[in-house]
Amino acid sequence: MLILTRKVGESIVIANDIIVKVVETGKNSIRIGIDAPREISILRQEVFDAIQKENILSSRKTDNIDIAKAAKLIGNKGLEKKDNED
Amino acid sequence: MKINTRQFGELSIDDDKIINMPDGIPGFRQQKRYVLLEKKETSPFYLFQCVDDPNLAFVVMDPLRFYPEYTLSVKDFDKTIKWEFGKEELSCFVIITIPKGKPEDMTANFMAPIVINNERKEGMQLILQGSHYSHQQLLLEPV
Repeated sequence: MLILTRKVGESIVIANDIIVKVVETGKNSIRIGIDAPREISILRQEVFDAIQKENILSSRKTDNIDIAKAAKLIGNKGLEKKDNED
Repeated sequence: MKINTRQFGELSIDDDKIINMPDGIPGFRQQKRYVLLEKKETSPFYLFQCVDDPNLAFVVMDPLRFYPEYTLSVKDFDKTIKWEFGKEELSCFVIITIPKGKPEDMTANFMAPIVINNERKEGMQLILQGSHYSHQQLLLEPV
């Protein structure tokens, strides 16, 4: 991993169009500002990890019987109103 | 085309039903082609089946079944600026996790919905960072 030292207010540039700036430092945290093109996805790592983990969990060869049971359990829960509109 | 599915065996699907997920989804970056399967026995759920991997399928449902007020705003979309919002019809699904043998403990991931542009047959998993929605929302009240 590349490690750089920056002062508050200083930045680094990644791939010409992503700018990461140190905005403020605290005791145990720093505030970072990021300028990047809209199509660049920026996520806190723990959020990304949680979604990835959940995706893997949900893809685990769910049993047909469990799906059918779950479908029955969910039934028309929460949809009473919407059903009437259809 | 014919596809193989673990849940429903071999199925014949129209090519125009295939949804491309250019970025895959987190955890499955390489799998990019899916199809939405609807079966009576799993309704109101659908199966979001990977076309190229019989063993990869997600149980999904319409989030409005649980949160009638569930909405996404254009600013939630970072990677889809090519989509013409308002002109193209979008569908939205949330992935359900059903623990083995414990369907009553199923949860839904409202923080990261699968959004499909029906016109373009293109989809993505949006991550609603900072939203109040949970990625492990229990769908049934604990008994």
